[in-house]
Order: sequence, then structure tokens, then C-alpha cells
Amino acid sequence: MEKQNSIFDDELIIRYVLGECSPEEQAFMDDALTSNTQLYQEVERWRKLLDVIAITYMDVEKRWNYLEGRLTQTHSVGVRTFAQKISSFRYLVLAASLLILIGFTTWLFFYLSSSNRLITQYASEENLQLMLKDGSMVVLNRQSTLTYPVRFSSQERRVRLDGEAHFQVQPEENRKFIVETDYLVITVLGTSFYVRDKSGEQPMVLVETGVVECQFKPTMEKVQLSQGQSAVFDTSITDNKQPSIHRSTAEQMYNDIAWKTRKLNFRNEPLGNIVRYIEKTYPVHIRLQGNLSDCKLTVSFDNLSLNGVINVLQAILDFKYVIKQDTIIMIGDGC
Amino acid sequence: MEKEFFEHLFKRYFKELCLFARQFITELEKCEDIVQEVFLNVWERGDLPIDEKQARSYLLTSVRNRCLNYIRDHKKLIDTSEFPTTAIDYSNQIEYKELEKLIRQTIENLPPTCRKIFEMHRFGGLKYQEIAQALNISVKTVEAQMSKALKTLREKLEAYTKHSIFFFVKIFKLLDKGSSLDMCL
Repeated sequence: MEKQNSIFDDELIIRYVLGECSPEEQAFMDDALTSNTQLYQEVERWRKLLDVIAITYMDVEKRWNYLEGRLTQTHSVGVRTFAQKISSFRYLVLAASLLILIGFTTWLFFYLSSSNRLITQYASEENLQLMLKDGSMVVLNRQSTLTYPVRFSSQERRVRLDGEAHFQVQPEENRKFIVETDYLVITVLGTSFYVRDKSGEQPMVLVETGVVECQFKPTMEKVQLSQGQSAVFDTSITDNKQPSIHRSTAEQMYNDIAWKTRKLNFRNEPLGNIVRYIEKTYPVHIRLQGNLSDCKLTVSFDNLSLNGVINVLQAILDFKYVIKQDTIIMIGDGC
Repeated sequence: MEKEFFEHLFKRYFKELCLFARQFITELEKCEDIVQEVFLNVWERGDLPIDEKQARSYLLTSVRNRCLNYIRDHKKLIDTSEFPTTAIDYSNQIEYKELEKLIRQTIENLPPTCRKIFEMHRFGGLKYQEIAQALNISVKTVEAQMSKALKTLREKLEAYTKHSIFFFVKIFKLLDKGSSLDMCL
């Protein structure tokens, strides 16, 4: 705000856009806005800020339900008015020709377009194993989505991932396999690796065999990872920090792929951290009560059931637990 | 078009498209209407590209056209020089997600009281007076905290938006009837 407008201080403008003005202020501002372009722009900037925040917290699910209702409605209304307009004989002829036409176009559609139709697979409550048309195997973690074409094109094999998955790619010299996520583009010829890109955690790639190339979209930076290597992609932005890539060995990241391997290994790790990994590995929430979360443990779980994990922990630590729906509450006095 | 794919596009891009529409049109509700109409339209016509990237560009362009039609029909004179154009780089899908993340982070990082007051006002729909009563503090305090929250958010966003599709479009309301928008376009 320039000096000539100092009478309209930020506080007044903010009160105005938030609808918290007194009636006198309201009238004064309404009036001033019709003639003062600069003031109008400033008010619009604040309004826009509020709208952008409102958009961020919109309930898209609710709007989808509303739209979905309108989709079926418009279809049925359309058919009724159409039917009323034509006589019954004509209707029969038309219906017959329509049937033939529909049959033909359906056939044509499947014939022509099956190569670029997309399949979306979502693993909700448990891991999902998929075999793609080229023979590559994918294991999807819970709450993860994979989208891929029915048939891959002749130049590349491209899939899209939201969440976590393990890929075992069938080697093909002339056709790259590409995994795209929000933050990453991962290109390989034939190899096996893990990918994670989901909200709340930093994206990660871990290579089991072979070589992969990852491109980090925010910086367009590329990094090559080979067998036994891993990278974590730091997406956070602050005033003096840009997104960046951190390399590590696969071993350091083994606990991050336990959702598939079911192998967890901790050395002198606080229980608070350990239960975070258990939550990622098993479909369960864990709450710690008392002074448990700082207890440091050295422990490993190799392919155990959830019961097994709890039993091992109880052998080391003194605690009781109760189960409420999908939450386990562990109560204890400390180490 | 498969409904699953359509649903996926809707859930993934609805917010981004609303934000995009908001660059053109000042009423948020109208922006939402326009984005809904665009989705309804592509569903009925069934002509959405099957490739997700192309589908997104197609949706962005449709929203933009509808916004411009709306502006034209409502005869508002607008400075279009800062409008997003077709030349805008639609390929970077990541920007909206980052913006959303930044907003959520900024709000989460507000001091607890400040954040609570902000959320009560913006998401709870409470007035200053009601918040003051609920928290047993003065209206002046509520106002100061609210103002602090908004200023922090604006500062963070403006620093970020210098290199993003989200920017503040100058909109000159005003002037009179009929002034031809086509000239500006």
C-alpha cells in the first residue's frame, strides 16, 4: 500500500475482507472501492489469499459425489425426452439401427484403442501383486495406486504410481520401463527396485538389482542408482533451501521396504520410532502411553505376524496393551 | 471414457482447476461452478484425451475459455495483460501440489493460539466476537492474531509465487458498460 492510501491501513482492509467491519467502516470502504483502483487491487489480493486457502481445504470428495449424481441424472433425462419425440414404429427402426451401430463402434473401439486404454489398480487394505503385459511384476503396498495401459506402446513401457511399490522389470533392450510419480521419473531397462512417493513421507527409491535413473522433477536433477544404493528426495522448500537429493546405501533404508519384506531391524532405536515403522508394515495404529516412547531397543523382526511383533516387544519391555478397533494402545512405566 | 479415469481426474485436478479459474474470476463460487461445468461437459461429450497429461492440458484450456466467456458475457473490463495464456507451461503438474503443501505447512507452523483462532474463523465460520467469547480473550486480541496469521501466509506465498502459475492478477474492476473485452484479448 502506497503512502497516499495510508488511511486504508492493512488492519482495516483485513477486517473488511473478513467481514468484520463495523457498519460505518463497511460503508466507507464500499464507497472508496468504487473510485480507488489501487485500493481495489489490494483488497483483491487479500481476497485471493483467502480463496487460495479455501481451495486448499476444499472437500473434493463431497463435490465429486454431487457431480456423480448429476452425471446419471442428465443421462436419464436425455433419454426420456428423446423417446417422447418419435413415434413407435420409427422408434423400432431407429433402435435396431442404433444397436447395429453401437455393436460396430464398440468392436471398432476395442479393436483400435485397446493399446492406450488405461487400467487403474488400487491396493486398499493389503498388498496387491500384479503382472503387467510385458511380464514385469509389481507389488503394490496398501493405499497405493498404479495406472498403466492395457498394452504398452512400442517405444516405452510407462506406468504411473501414487504410493509405494516394488517393481521387478522384465528386461527389454529396446523398450525402457518408466515409472512416473508426482516428484520422480524413474527410467530402467530391466531390474528390480522399490519406489515410494506418497503424502507425509519423502519420496524414496531403493535399487535391489541393476541400475535405474531417477529424475527429480522439482529440480530436474538426475541421479543414477545401482545395486544396493538408495536415494531420498527432500521436497521441502524454505526461504533458503531448495529441494534436494540425499544418497544412501540400501541397507540404511531396509526398514522402509518392510511393507514387502517384513524385515525390521533396529539398533538402539527409541520405541517411538520403532512403532512408526511397525505402523507402516502392518495395517495398525499404535499409541504409546506412559514413558515408553523414549526407551531404546535393539531388536529385529523377521517375517513375523503382528502378534509375533507384540510378543517380542513384551519379552523385552514391561508393558500392557489394549486393542481398540485398528489401534493398539501400549501402556507402561518405562524401560 | 471410463468413469474410473474420469473420477481420478476430477479428484486430482479439481482444486488446481479452481485455483486456475480464480486467476480470471473474482468470485470463488463462480470458479467452482465453471470447473464443475467443464467436467460435466467433457463427460457428456466423451472427448477427453486418454493420456493424463493431455487430459490435464485440455481441462485447463477448457476452464480458461469458459472463464473468458463468462467475463465477456458479464461485460467487465479487465486488464488481461497478466492473464495466464495458452502459452503458459502446463506441463509442470507439480506446482499446485507444492503450493498446497506450503499453505498447509505455513498454517501448521503458526503459533498454537494464532492457528487456533485462524482455523475457528476460516474453517469454523465463527466471528471475532464469538471466538473471543469461546476463548475468553478480547476481540482486539482475536483481531491481532488473525491479522498476524494472514500476513504470515501472504508473505510466504508471495515469496513462493514469483516462479509459479499462481500469481496475483491485477484486476481493474470498474469502468463502464460494454467496454469491449475483445479488444484486450
